[in-house]
Amino acid sequence: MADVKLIAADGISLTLGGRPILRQISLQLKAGEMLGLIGPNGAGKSSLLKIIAGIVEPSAGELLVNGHALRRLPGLERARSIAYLAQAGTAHWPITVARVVALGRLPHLGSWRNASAEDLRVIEAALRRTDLLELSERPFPTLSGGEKARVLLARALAVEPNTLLADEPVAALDLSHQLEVMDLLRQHCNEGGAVLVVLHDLRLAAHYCDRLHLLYQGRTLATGTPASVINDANLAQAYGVSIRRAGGSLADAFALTWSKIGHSAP
Amino acid sequence: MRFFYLIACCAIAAAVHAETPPARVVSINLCSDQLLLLLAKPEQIVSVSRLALEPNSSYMAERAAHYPVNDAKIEQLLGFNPDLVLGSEFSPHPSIRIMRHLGYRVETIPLSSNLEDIRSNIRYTAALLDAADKGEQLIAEMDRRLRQVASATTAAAPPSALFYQPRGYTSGRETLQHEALVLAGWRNLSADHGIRGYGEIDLETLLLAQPQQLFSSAYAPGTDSLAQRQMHHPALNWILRGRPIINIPYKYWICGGPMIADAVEALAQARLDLLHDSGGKKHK
Amino acid sequence: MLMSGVLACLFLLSLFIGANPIPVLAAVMDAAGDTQSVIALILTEVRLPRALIALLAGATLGLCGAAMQGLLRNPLASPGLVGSAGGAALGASLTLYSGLAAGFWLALPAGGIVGSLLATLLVYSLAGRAAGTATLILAGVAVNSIAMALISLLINLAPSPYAVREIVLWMLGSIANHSMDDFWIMLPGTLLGWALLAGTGRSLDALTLGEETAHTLGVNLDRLRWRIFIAIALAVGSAVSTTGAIGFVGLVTPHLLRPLVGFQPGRLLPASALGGAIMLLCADIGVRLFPAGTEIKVGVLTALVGAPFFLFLIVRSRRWQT
Repeated sequence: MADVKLIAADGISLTLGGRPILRQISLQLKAGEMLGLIGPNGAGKSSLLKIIAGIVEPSAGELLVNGHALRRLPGLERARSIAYLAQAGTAHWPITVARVVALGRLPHLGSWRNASAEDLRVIEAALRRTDLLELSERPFPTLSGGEKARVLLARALAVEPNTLLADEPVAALDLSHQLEVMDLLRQHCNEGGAVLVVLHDLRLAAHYCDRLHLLYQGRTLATGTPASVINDANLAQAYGVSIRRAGGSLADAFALTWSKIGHSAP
Repeated sequence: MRFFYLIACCAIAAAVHAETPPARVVSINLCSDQLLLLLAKPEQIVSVSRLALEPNSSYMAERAAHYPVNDAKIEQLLGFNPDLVLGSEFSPHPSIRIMRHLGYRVETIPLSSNLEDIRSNIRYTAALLDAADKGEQLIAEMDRRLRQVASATTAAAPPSALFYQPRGYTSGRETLQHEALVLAGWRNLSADHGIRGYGEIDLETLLLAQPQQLFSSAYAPGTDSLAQRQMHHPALNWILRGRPIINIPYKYWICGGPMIADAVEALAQARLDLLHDSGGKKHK
Repeated sequence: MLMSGVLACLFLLSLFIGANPIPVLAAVMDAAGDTQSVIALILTEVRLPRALIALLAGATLGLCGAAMQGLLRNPLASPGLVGSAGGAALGASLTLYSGLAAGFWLALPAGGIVGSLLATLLVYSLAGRAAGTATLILAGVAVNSIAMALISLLINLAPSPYAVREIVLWMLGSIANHSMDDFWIMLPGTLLGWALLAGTGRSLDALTLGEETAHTLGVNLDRLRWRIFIAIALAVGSAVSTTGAIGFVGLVTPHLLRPLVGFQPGRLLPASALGGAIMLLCADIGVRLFPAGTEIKVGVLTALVGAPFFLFLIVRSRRWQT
């Protein structure tokens, strides 16, 4: 199983209005793996994620999902294998938490089939996993920011996808909620899924991701283990920052220096 | 009302006789056009309104074609240098006020809604034009034709009918259509329903009244509108047992005049046809 | 279920109410048997088509309002505001006053359908895909004004002398004085539109999460948009070409019912269709309760009830913004 490439992108380029957004990006995602997509603002992280989600058509390049060309995959089949957690996602009508999460089952239901007991079980599991059972009847707009983020994650989990694409899932969350969300993504990988996550916080990225992919001006600047990607030269070029080492090693500088009370760091 | 007209006629007649008869008369309204063309000597007429040429509205369209037309615009009217301008009380045109203000003689003819109005309007206009004899002649001819229709009409229960126009318009009491229907031996169901003047009758009321004949006086062939579509409702066809709605040209009564006799004769003929049809059916 | 019951009752009630009291049961007996009586005629040729047309037009407006609000995720979208109804009225009046509809019975709804589609697409392309409320309404107002101006121009140029006063019928809508012929003319387009909308509920549900997320849930947005626009054009175009642009039913009905279906756009579709039919039947019965002869247009009543509701929505949305 560990060798199956859930996502294989090769030479992906994107040009919008004559302006190159992405150039020759190649990346692979295996089952059980969490890949972090990092880079400065405007590097093309979200665009790449949208291309892999099938939302945006790449200008060039090949994209395989489980070995099949993404373009030829029927919409519902694609939707069952890849879930997408949008940046700053929201719900436009004040529907309840349970109903937001239930939307994750739509790729399995199509236009006419009603939710089965199995669907209800999956929805409940997603709610339980994200600790939302008690909030399940609350209207979405009445939730706090952290609760909303968890609901939208639960919605994505309810799809039961192979691959979960998450665009800055922890932005605007406090420290403890950030850890909660990252733990849930990690758990998805541990259960055999794969996660491609856009992150700004390099400490979270270094701590949770198996591999990192650093984008700069639409190009791949570095890709590999966190230790091989996060170094002085890459960060200086990509972000224009130098790293203060406060007496420790580089790894110490990007170590996660907090954890949830009652949990030990995984 | 009638008394008032008599007095007014006498007063005007007296006033008019005191002066010389008008020699340059301009009419700016379809209804004054009709009476002018019927009563005046040809050389008295200087101009008629543009509508007088329109054959569906104007009974006198043929004769009107001999004269220049006007659009009731002040510049036009001044150009004709009239010594009498004729208009209608029904549609007060701003030009009337201005012409009066400029010192021109302007007379307006009242609306007619029954035979007596028609007679008094003819007399009134005839007096203005110094053509009293011609007026009496027209009235006598009209009355003769109406008497002829009346004598041919049996006193037996009159068949029922009503006028049904696009948009559900109908004619109740105090309209020329009602007057003509009754003179031709019909019972006007709209009047029975208490409609006075022109009103609307809804489809259900019409069907419940079960008219034996429907008349229309709308003439717009080859055109279409929501209002006209209403006339093709299948229920109308059913209630008339397939008999078509009979159209009476509206030039007979858009303006009150002796041409009402034409309408009465057409309605009387329709009545004879109806009785003949139903009589024929009974024999079968 | 409850709503279906209410609708059935209203439908029957509307057969009992007319300009004149008639023994409806006797009329039904006559109509069912071979007796050709006047009361049977009134029932089957005057009241039945009126009730059926109110049902069809009301359901269409409610359904299309709900679909449009779901698609644009905008509570103020509706066939009336977005120009679909105005365009339909323009298209239908074009075929009517040109005399085309007299020759070919499908020309009238076809004109309505084409006009509706063009106006909807115009507003949509003017306002853009993710139109905010203000942009959408501005574009809708502009296109509606153009449609109304063109209708009055058409009416002024129309060869029929009766056209002049019919602008009111097109702008406000009326379902009086229709026959079964009119019902059969509006039926095919309406049913086709309904059928196209029937399978869109799940997609509209998915759109709750925004267009991008809906896409990743398997919704083909381009196809959905076209499907809904064409469906609305078919249904609204057919309905409006018979009844005129009856206002506010498509706006108000989805609003009133949304809380009852848990704000779910998919479940709102059938509910709003039933609600729209109920609303228009109610309005039409209300109109008939005025004394005979003074019958006001049904659109006057829906506007009198709907416009204040619309103002209330504006006030409420303003409070949310500040």
